[in-house]
Amino acid sequence: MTDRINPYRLAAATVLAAGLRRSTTALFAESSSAMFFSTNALAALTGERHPYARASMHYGSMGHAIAGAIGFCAATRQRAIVFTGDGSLHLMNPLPTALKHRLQLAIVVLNDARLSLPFRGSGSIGAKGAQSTTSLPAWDFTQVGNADVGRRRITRNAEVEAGLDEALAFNGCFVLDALTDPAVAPPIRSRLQSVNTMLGGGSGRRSATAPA
Amino acid sequence: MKDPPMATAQTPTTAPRDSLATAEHQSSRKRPTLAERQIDLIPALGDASPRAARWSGEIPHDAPACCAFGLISAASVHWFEAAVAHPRVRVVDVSLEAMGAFAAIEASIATGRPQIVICGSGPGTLGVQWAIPAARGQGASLLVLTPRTPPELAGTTQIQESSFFSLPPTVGAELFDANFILTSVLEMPRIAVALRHLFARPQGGVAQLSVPTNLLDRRCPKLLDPSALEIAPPAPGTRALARIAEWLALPGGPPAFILGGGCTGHGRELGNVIKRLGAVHLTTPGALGLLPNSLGLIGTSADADVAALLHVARPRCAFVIGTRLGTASGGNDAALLPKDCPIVHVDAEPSGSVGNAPATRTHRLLSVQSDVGEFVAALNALVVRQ
Repeated sequence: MTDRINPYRLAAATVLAAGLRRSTTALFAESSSAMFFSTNALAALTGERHPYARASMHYGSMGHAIAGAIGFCAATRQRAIVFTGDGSLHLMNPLPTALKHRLQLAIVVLNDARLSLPFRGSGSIGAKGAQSTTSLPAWDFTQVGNADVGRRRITRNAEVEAGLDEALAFNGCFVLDALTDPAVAPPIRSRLQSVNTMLGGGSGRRSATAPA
Repeated sequence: MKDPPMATAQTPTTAPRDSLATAEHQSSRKRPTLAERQIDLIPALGDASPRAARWSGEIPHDAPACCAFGLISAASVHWFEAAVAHPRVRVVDVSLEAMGAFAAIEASIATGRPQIVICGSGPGTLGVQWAIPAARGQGASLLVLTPRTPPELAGTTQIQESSFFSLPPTVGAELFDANFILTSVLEMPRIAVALRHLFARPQGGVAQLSVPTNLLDRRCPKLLDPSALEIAPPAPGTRALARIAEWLALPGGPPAFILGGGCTGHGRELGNVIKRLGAVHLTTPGALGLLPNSLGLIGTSADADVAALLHVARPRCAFVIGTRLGTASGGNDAALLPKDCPIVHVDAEPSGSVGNAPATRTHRLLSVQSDVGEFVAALNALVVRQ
C-alpha cells in the first residue's frame, strides 16, 4: 500500500462537497475511471446530500465532462466541479477558456500517470503490448501557465478535504492535482465483462465470427 | 459554506458594450442581417421552450438567455459579430470545436434552453461533429451554425474557405435530428418555425443550419414572433387555450373557421362549436361536405370573392384546422383574412405549421400542435365555460 491518495476516498469527498453546496455547485464526472469512482460514491449518499451530477454514460466521450462544465458555468453563472482523469485533461484543456471568461470551475484530477480504464481492460485479457501504450508521463497539473489559476497538489489522504475546501472557496478557476494510488482499481467489473463480450469471448483471441 | 461572489465575465446588458457592436454598427442597418436574425432567434425560442431545466439550484438574474460556443474562423465572423452584439447571448470562445459542442450540451440540459454552436466551414465543421451524438443521446437542444463556401465561389483564391477543398453541406448530416441547407434568406421564416417545433420536443433536438457565407450579411425578412408560437396540447389551463380565450373576446365579427381535409371525421363536433360561436365557416376541397352551408374555397383566384366577404365580416379571430392557409387561400399568403385578424393554426404534424409559416407571417399566430379531435373537444369545453 502506498501513501498516495485512495481514489475512492477522493471521490467520496468530492461528491459530498458538491452535495453540500448543491444550490450553487454542480458535479461533472468524466467518462473514465472518474465516473466509476464517483458513481460508486454517489450511491452512498442520501437524497438530501445528492448533488446535481452529470456524466456521459452511453456515448461516453473523453472530455465531455470538462467541456460540459464550461457550458454549465457559462450558462448558469454558477460553480462546477469536474472530477476527471489525467488523460482527459491532457486531451481537452479548458483552462484558457475558463480563465478568460472567469468561470467558477474546480478541476479535480485523478493523476495516476496512466489511462486507467484501457490499462485495466488490456491487462484483463493479457494484452501486454497494448497495455504498455496506456502509461502517461508523470505530470504536474499545477504548472498551468497563468498565475491567476488557483492550484494545489495533494499527495496524501489527509490532504483531500483541505484541498477541496480551497478549490471550492477559490474565486475563479482552480486545479486540484491529486496524486492517486494507481494500485487501486475502479469498480469496473461489468465494464470489463462488456469489453470481453465485445472482443468475442474474453480470451483476447479473435473470435471465430469476427472479421479477419 | 457560502460561495464567493460570482465573477462577471460579461459586461452588464444595460451598460455600453465595448465590442465591435458600436452604435454606428447598430444603427447602420434598419433590418437585421441573416446572421443577426439567427442569433436573435435562439434566445427568443428559449423563452418559449416548454423543456424543464435540470439544474434546480440558483441562477443569477444576469445569466444569459443562451450561450454561443465556438472557435472563430473567417467564415464565422458574422455570427460571432452578431452574437457579441446581442444583449442576451453570452459568447464563449473555446479552444477546440468539440469543446464548444460539449459545453452547449450541458448548458442546454442545465437550463432547458436551446444553445448555439458556431462552426467553421472546413475542419471546424468536422471538429464539432465528434460531440453531436452525445447531444442527441442526452436530450440537449442545440443549433449548430455551419457556414459553407458557395459553390460558385469555391476555388476563388485556393486558400482555405475560398479553395476547392470545401465541404458539402450534407457532411455529417445523419448525425443531426434536422438539417437546414439554406439557399435563400427568404427561407428563414420557415426555418424559424421548424426550429421552434424541433426545440419544443420533450427529447430536445439537434439541428444544423448550413448557410452560404455570401448570404450571412444579407438582410433577412421578418421572422414570426416565436412568443406567438404556442406549441402545447390544448388542455384546460394551458397557455394555448388562454390565448384563444383572449382572442375570442376581441372586438369584431364572429370568428372564422377554415377547415381542411384533416378535419374529416370531426364534422359533428366542429359543427357544435361553430354553432355556439355563431362562426363563419369555409372548407377547402379536401373537406367538401364536412358541414352543411360552408363557403367553399377552391384554391384559385376565384377565392377573392370569399376574401372580400371575410374582409367585410372582419372576424375577431380565425381557426385554420387540418389545412394550411396557403392551401386554403390558393395564394400562399394570408390575404384571405384581414391583417388584424389573429390566426389559430391547428395541425397534428409540425410540418403543417412549418408549411403555413410563409402564409401567416403578417398575422398574429398561435400554432397548436394537436390532434384535431382533441383540439375541437377542448375548444368546445372552453366555449361552454365562457
